[in-house]
Amino acid sequence: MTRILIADDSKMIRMMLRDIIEEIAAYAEIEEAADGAEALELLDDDDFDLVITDLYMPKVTGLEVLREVQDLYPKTQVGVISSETAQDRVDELKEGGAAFIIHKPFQVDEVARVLSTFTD
Amino acid sequence: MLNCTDEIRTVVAATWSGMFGLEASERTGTIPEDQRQHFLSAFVNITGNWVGTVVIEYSPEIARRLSAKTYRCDVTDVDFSQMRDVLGEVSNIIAGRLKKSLPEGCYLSLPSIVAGLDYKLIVPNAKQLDRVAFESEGDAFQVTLLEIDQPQRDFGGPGALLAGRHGNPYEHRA
Repeated sequence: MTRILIADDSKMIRMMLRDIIEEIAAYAEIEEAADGAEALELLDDDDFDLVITDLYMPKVTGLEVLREVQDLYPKTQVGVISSETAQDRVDELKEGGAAFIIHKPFQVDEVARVLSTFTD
Repeated sequence: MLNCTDEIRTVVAATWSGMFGLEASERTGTIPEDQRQHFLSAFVNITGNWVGTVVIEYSPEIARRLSAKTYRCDVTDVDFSQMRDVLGEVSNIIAGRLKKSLPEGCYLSLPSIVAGLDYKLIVPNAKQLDRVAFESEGDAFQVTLLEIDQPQRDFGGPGALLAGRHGNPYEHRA
């Protein structure tokens, strides 16, 4: 069973991602964090296979989440969904080891296709 | 002069179809002020190497429709906190996409949402660069890009426009 953490300060995005995941992987376990700090707390408590994070969030950014996961939980993959398109930011995320980067506005089908490669 | 009209059309179409499964078509002309009296306004400030504001005005009906789609409820059951979340995120996505057309080194504020009657949004020293009106299932909304020519000396980014010269940029009509 795949364990997925969604970190985004927008409830709308969290709900959309949850819906997509439930559609493609009915047995996935999903947790939600409303900011980066909450995401790190949840990561401290539980093991996750995949973290889907926004880039800009209160308290702790998605890039910081990515770096923390790479350092402390190397088996956990991190994907980023953000409206940021600046090339230097995208390069930073790629160099930081992001498993995927999806730009908002996303197409639900595209997100489903990408996420399906991470779920059982 | 900067022109983001095509970028506005592209991001609105992609957001409405890709994220909500709705169509958004461009309206002829803009939405007259007297028809926007009940609209909810979202604005995202842009600072850095280019200074301006993206204003998105949503009819209450489109605000409810997008929120109901997201929260999977009836449009009559939508509350303001749900609309604030959805309109904030949609506005952030639109502004984020428009940033692509601006010089590098620009930063977005968090979106602010204004609702109510008898208010007027005043952005000091701003000129309108683009305004595109749309319709989705008969409900209207409008995207405006404002450039601020001479930033105030104390313009400090997110929230600065809310402070305004007199403590409040909203000039009551009544």
